[in-house]
Amino acid sequence: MSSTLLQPTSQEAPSPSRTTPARPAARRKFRREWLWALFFLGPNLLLFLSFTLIPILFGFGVSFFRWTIVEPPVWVGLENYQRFFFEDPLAAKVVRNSLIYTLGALPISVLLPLALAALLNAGLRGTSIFRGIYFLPLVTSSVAAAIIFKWLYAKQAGPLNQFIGLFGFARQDWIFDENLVLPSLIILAIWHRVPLNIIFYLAALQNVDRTLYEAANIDGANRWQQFRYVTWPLVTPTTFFVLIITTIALLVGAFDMVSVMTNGGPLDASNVLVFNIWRTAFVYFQMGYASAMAYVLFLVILAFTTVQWALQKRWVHY
Amino acid sequence: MIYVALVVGAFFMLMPFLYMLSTSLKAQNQVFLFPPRWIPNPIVWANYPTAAVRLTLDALLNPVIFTTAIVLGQGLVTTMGGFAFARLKFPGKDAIFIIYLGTMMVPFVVTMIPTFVIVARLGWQDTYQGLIVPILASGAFGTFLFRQFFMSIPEDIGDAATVDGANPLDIYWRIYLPLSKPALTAYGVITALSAWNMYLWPLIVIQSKELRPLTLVIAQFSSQMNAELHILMACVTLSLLPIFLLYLFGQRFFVEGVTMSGIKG
Repeated sequence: MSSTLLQPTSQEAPSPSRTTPARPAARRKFRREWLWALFFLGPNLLLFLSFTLIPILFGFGVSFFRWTIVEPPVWVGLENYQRFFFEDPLAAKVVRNSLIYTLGALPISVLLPLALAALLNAGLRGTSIFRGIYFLPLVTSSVAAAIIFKWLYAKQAGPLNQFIGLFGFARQDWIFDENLVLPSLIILAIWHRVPLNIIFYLAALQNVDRTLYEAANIDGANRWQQFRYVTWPLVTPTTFFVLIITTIALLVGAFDMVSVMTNGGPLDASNVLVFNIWRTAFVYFQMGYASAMAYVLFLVILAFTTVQWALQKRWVHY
Repeated sequence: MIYVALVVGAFFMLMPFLYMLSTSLKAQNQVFLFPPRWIPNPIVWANYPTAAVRLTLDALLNPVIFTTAIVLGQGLVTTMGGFAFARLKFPGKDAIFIIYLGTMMVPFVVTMIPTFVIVARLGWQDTYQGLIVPILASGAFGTFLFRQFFMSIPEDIGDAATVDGANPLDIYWRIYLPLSKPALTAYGVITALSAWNMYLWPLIVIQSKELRPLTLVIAQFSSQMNAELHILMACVTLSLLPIFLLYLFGQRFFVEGVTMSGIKG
């Protein structure tokens, strides 16, 4: 591959190198291709090093220091981690909130889109209009979505209270109630996440061979059985993929919504890990502790992904 | 039966937008009525000019500058890097590529603190370059994507051009990029979407009013304009408008981009 790119040069300038042994010539070609590679990859590599790789290592280092940015960092060893796991009462609450939020939003975020995708894929007329509507939250910024939902949840004049009023329920103060704020965030998260997952499932469903359904039909399978025994096994790899990326997105992506809608409140009832990391770093300027928490979050994501990976052979059919 | 399910689903997906639109057209004294009136009477179109003035020209232009820079910059950086990985030979190629892959799992929360420190050391705090350059680096994924895409282009095409005297830059610019138009469009649309909607990074780097992108401005309005919900909702509507228009005409590209990249930004 290397030599082919440089063929023309050796044809255009065949002068003294003709007589010299093949080796130096080959080496010179190699050097030029290396320069081309530097030209193409250089900017990318420089950015990658400065703003991805070095920050990853740097962040890990910072997690062993006490550092307010203004004062020089002080080595504290594992103190930040110790504080997170054993001493900080807020940490336990934040972890609990993150788990409730993630596990609460996960099942519906993963399964509802599959059902909706199956409906959208049924080949009915007007589906493209529905598809257009269903994908709208995808292009909506989470900030805008959080602002709108904040007012949907409003106690005094919120439409949600109007809606539950139809069933005789009293008005609730959704996002200012310690017990209701996480469910409120979960609903928003699901609303915002569903379209993306529908797209993944639709792509998978469109690859399913139609004749399989015809065969199932001839065998007398009803719609549910067709879904259960034809569609489901064929989309398990997609379901697996959706499960993994949705979990990661819920764990790391909650920041915008929490920041805009509740600011972690009331009484930290909606303070989740990402939000706490941001606040610790950029409001309290405890860079070391925040970095330690960020690394814990990363390890949680790694662990979760590994466990899912190990469990997949029980239910994923490739 | 399927239609009923689809309609119910569509209602829940659309309801927040209907509420936003309806509120944005209300007169101030009707905003806080309970039960909410879904059809405003009178319809106050004047809320929109008021909202646009409140947002200021800066807030409307900043995300355009930011998004354009990110899309073009990341497009160039990732395709060039992808080309090097796919078609050029250089020492350490496999090792570097594996490191790229390894970092793709690391979420932004992990890198955000050190990245901020580096940006601050460079004196880039509260500047366009501080906002833009670190985001260009989040192209490790795009680099991977374009490497895979370029690998699928038969090498013979490039080789034929080499015989005609083309150098790698010609091959990249005249052959690989034109052949990748669909992938480029899809990736560009998704990058634009995520840049336009980005909130956390601007929140960390930007302080001055003149540099704030729309997301930041409406988030701040949201905590300040509780009494003027109708204007706030008009601001939110305006912030969504450009990307909704893009979506209206290019739904296909959004879907392709999402399917291709597996992420939303």
